[in-house]
Formats: sequence, structure tokens, C-alpha cells
Amino acid sequence: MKDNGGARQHWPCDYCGEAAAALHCRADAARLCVACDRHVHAANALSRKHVRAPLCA
Amino acid sequence: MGALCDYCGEHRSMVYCRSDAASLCLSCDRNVHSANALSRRHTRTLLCDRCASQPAMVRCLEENTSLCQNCDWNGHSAGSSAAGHKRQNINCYSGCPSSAELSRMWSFILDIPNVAPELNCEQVISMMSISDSAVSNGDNAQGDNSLVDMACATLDEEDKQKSVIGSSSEAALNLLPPANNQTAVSVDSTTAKYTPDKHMFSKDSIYEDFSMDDIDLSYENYEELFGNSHIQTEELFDDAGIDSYFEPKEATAVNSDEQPKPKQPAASNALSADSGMSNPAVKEDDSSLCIPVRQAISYSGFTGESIPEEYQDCGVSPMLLMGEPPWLPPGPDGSFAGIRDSAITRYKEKKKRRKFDHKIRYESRKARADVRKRVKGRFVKAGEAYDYDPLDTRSY
Repeated sequence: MKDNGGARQHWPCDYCGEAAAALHCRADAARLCVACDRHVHAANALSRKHVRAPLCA
Repeated sequence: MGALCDYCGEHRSMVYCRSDAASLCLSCDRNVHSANALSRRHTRTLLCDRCASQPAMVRCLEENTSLCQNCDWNGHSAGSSAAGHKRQNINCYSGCPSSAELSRMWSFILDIPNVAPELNCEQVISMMSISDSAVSNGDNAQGDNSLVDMACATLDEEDKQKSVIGSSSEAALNLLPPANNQTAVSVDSTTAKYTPDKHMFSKDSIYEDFSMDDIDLSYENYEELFGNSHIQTEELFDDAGIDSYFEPKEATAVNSDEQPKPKQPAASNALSADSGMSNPAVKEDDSSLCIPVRQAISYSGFTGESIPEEYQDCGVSPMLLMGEPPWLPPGPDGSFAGIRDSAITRYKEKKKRRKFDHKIRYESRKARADVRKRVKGRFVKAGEAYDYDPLDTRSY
């Protein structure tokens, strides 16, 4: 699901589907861009505790 | 963890969320998992009745309890009288099901309170106290649901609450006025008790991974960690010992024609690359041995940037630094040395090719194994009892 064959676009964010995903949340099993990661995980005290790791890029 | 909800700490936890690794009461489960699309995907399942800390996997029909794996094995161990109890699997759910859907899925649970999505936590607490007391009075599930439905629909304003009291003849509703008084108190206690959650989580060993510090660490140190491994692999090949190892190779290839065949055992060869390669007594066969070895080093080094390859290379270079054994034909007096040396060489060659990866030899076997039912992690035959079915429990 890489968007550009030549330019290595990587995976789109699972939440907005637009920006390139930069972080992976293990608990949600989702790849998120930085903005969506902030939005999703700021919603909740429990989701704030999720450990997120950067994606290979 | 005990039996209290991990989020509010007020009520008894009912369900367990695998993704959050948290036990929640139904209202907090609704609040937390309706926040966004990602949390809605989390699978939740019932909690074990016995230990109240693990997700329940099976429902024992004889004892009418939901049990996790451990309690199930402990209680129904083979040889005890309880071994033959019939068990059925407990399903998990995701999304935001209503209480009707939950009670349909878990038909053995009688006291699922109706949790309307628009209510906030405080109002739901009062409703849950209603339903709990109603159950204790011995009312049936139908009566509870309809009763709480009425209460839920009219709970927006406090005036209407009083009309619900008047209209219903259930004795349990007499508890509603004291529940209302308690809502004001419970609001404050909820908010006040909420702040120490951070400490609560940091104490439990299960929540070690959830500390906020780890998030920053993993993000910042990423380059450092992975940058270092690149540096290490480069340094390995900038090592002076290996460079000098390569240079005199041409010299020995030139000189090897002139040298007599030495009969030096492998142990007496030089222990460092410099002396080993500058030794003019090294034979042509040795240099021919060196060439494929050197190519093996460079190949494995440049293609593999991962850390396991590093260990392989580290094993290679000191081994060769000790000097290659001379390729002796087995003579009458050195027969054992020759055989031994060839065995050593063969061992060293194979050691280079070692790979400790997780290798799947047969994809078809893996496909079969992934769907097989198990008991205590072991495969069982198709018709027999099982306690884990990988097809039943899916994460997402």
C-alpha cells in the first residue's frame, strides 16, 4: 500500500488516511501520523498511557 | 487491580479490554471506547469471576461462573470431580454495543445495566446502583431492563426522576432518592479520586509499559539506538586488523610459489592477522583459502545491517586472526593432524553459515497449526474438548 512507487511514500495514517504514518501504537495496533496520534491519544486517560514507537522511515 | 474499575476506581469492574490491558466498569468502558474510532476497535470481554483480574475465556455451565484460563484449569483439573463440567466459550465484543446487545451475547448475565451513551459518568453511577439493588431483590432480567429503560429515558432532568419514582411500584426504586443525594457526592469523589490514577498505574507491574516517560524515550533514542548499530557495523570493517589482513594477501600469493611446503600444525601459526599473513611460509593453498573467506566476510558484512549478522562477523574475524590451518595431506606421521585440521576447517566454515532465525520450513504446516484447537497450548484432536480456539478469538 505504498503510494508512490518511486518516492517511497510509506503507509498512510490509519485514522485520517491522508498524511504519512509516523508512529505505531501497539495497544491500538494502528499506524498514525503525528497529528492524529496526538488527537487520538489525548482523548482519554487510558489511551494516554499507550506506548507508541516511531515507524521505520 | 482487584475488582475495581481501573478508570474510576469506584465501581466493580465488569469487562476487560485487551488493548488497554485494563478492567473497566460498564460505564467507563462505554465512555473510554466511544471516544474515537481507534478505541472502538478494542476487544473487550468479561472478567473472570474468580480472580477478577484476567479476561474470562469460558463459562462453566455447572457452576455458572465465567473463568479465565488459569482458574478454569485450576478448578477443572483432570482427576478432580469437577473435570467433566460443561464449558462454553465467552465471546468478546468491540464497538459500542447497547446493554440489550450485551445481554443477548452473554445471556447468562442478568444484571447488565442500560448505559445510554449521552449520559455522563455520574448519572450512570446512580443508575447502576438502582439496577444492583434491583437484582438483589430477586427481580427478573426483563423487569430490570424495562425499569432501567424508563429511568434512563427520563434521567435528563431531575424533575422527571421523581415522576419515575411515582409511576413505578418496584420497591427498589425507593433507593432512588438516596442515590440522587449520593450523585453530588460521587461527582466530587470521582474527580478527586481520578488524579492519583497515574500513581496507581505506575505501581502495578502490568502498567510498566504505560508510563509516559517511555514514550519520549522510544521516540528520541530511536536514532541513537539504530544509528549506533550502523556505526558498529562500519567500524567492524574499518578495523585495522582486517585491512592489514587484506593487503599482504597479494604479497603471499606472489611469494607462495617459491615457498617450500611447511609442516606446521595449526596451533603454531601466528595468533594475529599481521604475523599470520606476513609469514612467508604460508602456502598457496592458504591464500586460496583466504580469498573465499574474505569474500564471505565482506558479503555478510555489507548486506547485513542487522545485529545478528554482527555476531556472526565477530565470530569470523577472531577465528581467522588465529591463523588458518595449513592444508596438510594426511601423511604417515601427521595423519591425525590432517584429519583434525580438515575437521576444524569444516567446522569453521559451517559456523560462518549459522543462522538462528525463526524459520518456517513448511508454510502449509504453519497454516494448519494456526487454526488448530488447543488445550493448555497443546494440540487436540478435532472432536475433543478444547480451551482455546484461535478462530474464535480474534483481535480486531
